[in-house]
Amino acid sequence: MSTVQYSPEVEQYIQRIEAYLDQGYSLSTRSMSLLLLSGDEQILSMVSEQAPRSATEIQRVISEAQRRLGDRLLLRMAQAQQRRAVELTQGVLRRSGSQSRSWSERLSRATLAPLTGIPILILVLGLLYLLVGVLGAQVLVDWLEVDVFGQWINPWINQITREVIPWPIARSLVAGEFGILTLGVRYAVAIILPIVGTFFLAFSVIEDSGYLPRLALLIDRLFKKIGLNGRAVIPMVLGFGCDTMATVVTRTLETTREKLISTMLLALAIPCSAQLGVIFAILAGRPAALAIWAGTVFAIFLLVGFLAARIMPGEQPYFYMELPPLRVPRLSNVVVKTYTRMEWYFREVLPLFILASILIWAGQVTGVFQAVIAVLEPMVRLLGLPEETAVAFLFGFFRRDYGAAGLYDIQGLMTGVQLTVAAVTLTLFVPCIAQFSVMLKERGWKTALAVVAFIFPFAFFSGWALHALLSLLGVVLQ
Amino acid sequence: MRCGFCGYVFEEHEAERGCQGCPLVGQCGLVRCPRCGYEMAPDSRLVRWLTDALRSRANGAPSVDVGSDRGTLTKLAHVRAGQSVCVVDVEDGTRKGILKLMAMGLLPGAKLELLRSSPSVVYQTGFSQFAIDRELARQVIVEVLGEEETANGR
Repeated sequence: MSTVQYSPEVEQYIQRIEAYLDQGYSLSTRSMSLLLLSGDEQILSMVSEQAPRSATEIQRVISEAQRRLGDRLLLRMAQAQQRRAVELTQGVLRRSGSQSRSWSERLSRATLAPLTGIPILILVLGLLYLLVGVLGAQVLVDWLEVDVFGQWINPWINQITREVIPWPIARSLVAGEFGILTLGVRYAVAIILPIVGTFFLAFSVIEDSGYLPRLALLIDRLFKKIGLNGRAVIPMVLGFGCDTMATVVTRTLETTREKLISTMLLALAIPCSAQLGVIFAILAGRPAALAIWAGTVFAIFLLVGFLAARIMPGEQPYFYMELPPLRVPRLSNVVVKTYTRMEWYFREVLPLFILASILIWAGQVTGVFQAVIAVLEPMVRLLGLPEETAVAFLFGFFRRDYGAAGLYDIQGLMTGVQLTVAAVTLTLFVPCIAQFSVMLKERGWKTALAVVAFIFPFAFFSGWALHALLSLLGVVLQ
Repeated sequence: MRCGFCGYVFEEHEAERGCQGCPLVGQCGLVRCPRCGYEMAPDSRLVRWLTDALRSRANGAPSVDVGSDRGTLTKLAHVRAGQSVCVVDVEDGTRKGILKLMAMGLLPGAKLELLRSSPSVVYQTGFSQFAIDRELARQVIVEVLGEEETANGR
């Protein structure tokens, strides 16, 4: 017999509710009664649909129980269930000796203590950079960009289209500077794919190892200052993969205030893996520039979060989380997860890249493109950047990584300071179309528009301020 | 902290009750005793950190009688790492909060082993480990059972 026996006063309420229930439900009357007593609204609405009269009687009994026992009602029920669970497991479970206090337990404790946890965090970030920033963004991108596309695919496409398509306008749709195949597909396959691929691989390993909840605990204090709690580290870290996905995940945060702040910070200061990788690739040979970029974006993240937490009213969030044991990730899991994410990303990204190529082509043919660039150019000049970057900013409207990839194409034209300013501005710049549409869906159009209306001038202002500061100090970045 | 005038012991965040009606709430840098209204400077962070560090070092020494805390009622936020405790009561006004703490194994009668007390409280109950922040841990009243020898992982 596996029934849980509750204390007499609780049992009395259970039986009184049971008396009002008839047999017609898929659950036993006792289970129904227990669920009703613990305040399950779904069951209550189910009962009031089938038997409205008994539902009001039941509600009377529940409110009497809540009045008489208060919080104790729920606690007593949980206690009784807990006791029974312990009884049941005691018969079948045997704890082995202290052998289990192995390296994983020791490592787990090391990740929790700030003194050892922060160096471990830095180590994890360093490995992440080696994998994504060096292997993905440099070695693989170089090979695909320069060798595969530059030497082989693009010349071949250009030649074929020259022979097959006689009209230059139609030809420029597929090939040439802004063609679907030579620009859209090249960006997606040669620049973005290796970077997100290596990032998703690293992220799957981190996710499966159980490290994320420990990171949440370590960072909780800092996040409390910006109106979030440690839990928000999960959407934030996911944002480094894809901000669109991360914006959906902010749903798991409890208060509206947290959802709002994290949505805005994701749109503003968290670069997605594609963008991150391209920025790594651009700034790779310049450690000082990379440090200034990272420091500026992180400072803006904290500053805007801190101010947002001050401005927005609301209760302080609480942090609570289960810490799963640290585990060695299983290779098959990691591979499947990485592949699934890459496939998802590719399916998501390729149509958008192609669409962006078509829009840019249409804009160029009709002259709209040049008009928008003419508007952007003075703004770009204000940041001390060459006019060609206006194109990259325009691309950034379509996808953040698309914009950064555009920057990658013209990096030869720019100095270290210019690249740093452009990278910071592009990182802060408006969210991509996909992220914006998710923001609309999750937070409503008012919030989404307000976020964009804040980000657009703020990104340019930050870029301008950084440019002014760097040139005032006479910084030269090689 | 303890009031320098009437000796009432209170949490720093409770002091805001004593400040009701004052336009400077939370901005003046002073703490007002919620019982008698006496104003004093809050404990220096440096001093608190030093005393905590000294105390925990003293606790690590084998000569200290580890059983001395046995039976003390305190809040979970004030329990030191390495001690095992039994939950006595959970104070929370809201139903949602109670459910949350219950789901984390914080039921009256539950035995916990404290693994860390900062930056957040980490405890083990049964086969699971949980982390809650100090604000939540202040709502849990526990009875200290004693020191857990294995808690240091040695």
